[in-house]
Amino acid sequence: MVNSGFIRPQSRIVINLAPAELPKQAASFDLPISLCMLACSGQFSSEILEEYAVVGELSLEGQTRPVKGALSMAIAAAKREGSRASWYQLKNAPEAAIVEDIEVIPVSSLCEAVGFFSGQLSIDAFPSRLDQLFSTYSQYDVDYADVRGQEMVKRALCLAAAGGHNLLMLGPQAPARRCWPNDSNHSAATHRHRIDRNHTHLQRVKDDYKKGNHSWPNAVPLTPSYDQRCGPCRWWQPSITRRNFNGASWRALP
Amino acid sequence: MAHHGVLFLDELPEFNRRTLEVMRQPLEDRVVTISRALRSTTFPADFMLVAALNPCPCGYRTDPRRNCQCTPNQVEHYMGKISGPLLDRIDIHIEVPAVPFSDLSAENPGTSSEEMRAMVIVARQRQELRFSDTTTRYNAQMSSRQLRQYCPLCREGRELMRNSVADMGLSARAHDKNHSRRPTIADMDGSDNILVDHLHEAINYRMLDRQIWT
Repeated sequence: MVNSGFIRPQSRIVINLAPAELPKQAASFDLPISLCMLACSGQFSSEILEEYAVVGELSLEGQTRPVKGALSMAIAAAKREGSRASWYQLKNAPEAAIVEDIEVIPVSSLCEAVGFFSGQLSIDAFPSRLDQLFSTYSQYDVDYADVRGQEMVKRALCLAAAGGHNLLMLGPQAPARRCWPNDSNHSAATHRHRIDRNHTHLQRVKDDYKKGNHSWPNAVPLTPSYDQRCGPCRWWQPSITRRNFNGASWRALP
Repeated sequence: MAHHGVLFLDELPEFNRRTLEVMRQPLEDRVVTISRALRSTTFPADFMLVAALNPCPCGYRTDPRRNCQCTPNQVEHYMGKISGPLLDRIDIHIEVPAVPFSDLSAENPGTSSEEMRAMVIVARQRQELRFSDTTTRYNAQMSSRQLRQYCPLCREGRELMRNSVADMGLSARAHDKNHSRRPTIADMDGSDNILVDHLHEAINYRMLDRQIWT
């Protein structure tokens, strides 16, 4: 805060993060807490502050840093009446902008955020690029045409993808190797099947969360890093432990 | 576990048995409840499981060109790692045979991803129509009541089903799974009626129920 040219209030500050029983990832509250302190100490005044949900981690220089679970938080912000926009670091903005109901405003530093709220700076909302994301991630180098024979298996794979059925492949020496076009990229090939439905896939995940049955900052499987790796497909090694298998170890994660 | 995603498990019997049993709840209820030190949470976990395994530890059983070195005990132990209830929850079991040289060196390409994608999209669209006024989204999610409503069996089909249940000792769940695969096959073929042929194919996808492997 001081490094950004503001004055840190000298008095005692009490910050209440209710409800207390929820575990919190403190870093994503950096930006909102700083903004609140600046607004409360009268260093800037804003009429629009209440309409925005703010998320962001701050570095020591006052720059914003990306946070985890931007998409989930954007969905949560869209659900809340009265908040019409949400706010992210530039790297998070494409992920959050998937939620079309809100405008996502990317900021790169605390100064920019203050400038925006006090009306001295106008920042355009980040456009939603859902279609672009889908077209980018539905391109693959691997192709089932490279798999020799195994037409019966391909039909079963189609069936499984079409009806959402579980599938078990059994055969001598590496059945999976012979059914996937490329050894190193099983998941991409399977994902290729699934991407057909990715529009609905994401919509469905969004729907489920909108219903309010589930909520967790990292619970939506489409963060950029995740998506570039393998899309909504996970491939575990046999050495995985029971606890890691159904959720992360000490802190419950999907 | 990715909600509405794919979970791929290669070498299924190499997993710890207790680890695999964890999947029972999410495969059945499509949610997973995790209790950890801080809190207990229920996450949605409607995923599609794809698994691959060898029929025995050395991997050459059922390969016509190599001899399998495993003793019956070893094979039993290996296949025993996957419990019956878990197998029951997997809809399609399929054998992936060794590919003969003539196929490997063949010039003509197999079905391409584009063609497969087209088939899947057609089937998905038909399912969307079928379930337009329900919360169900695809065939595997159908309840028994929906199965009876959307995909009634003809007399011939019922006869075939009865024979297969009796011969293969199918559980109630496996019986329903056979049912639910049937409309998917019809959807993929673009057929409005679910024919006996589709049921034949559906039953054929339950290889491990026929007890020739275990």
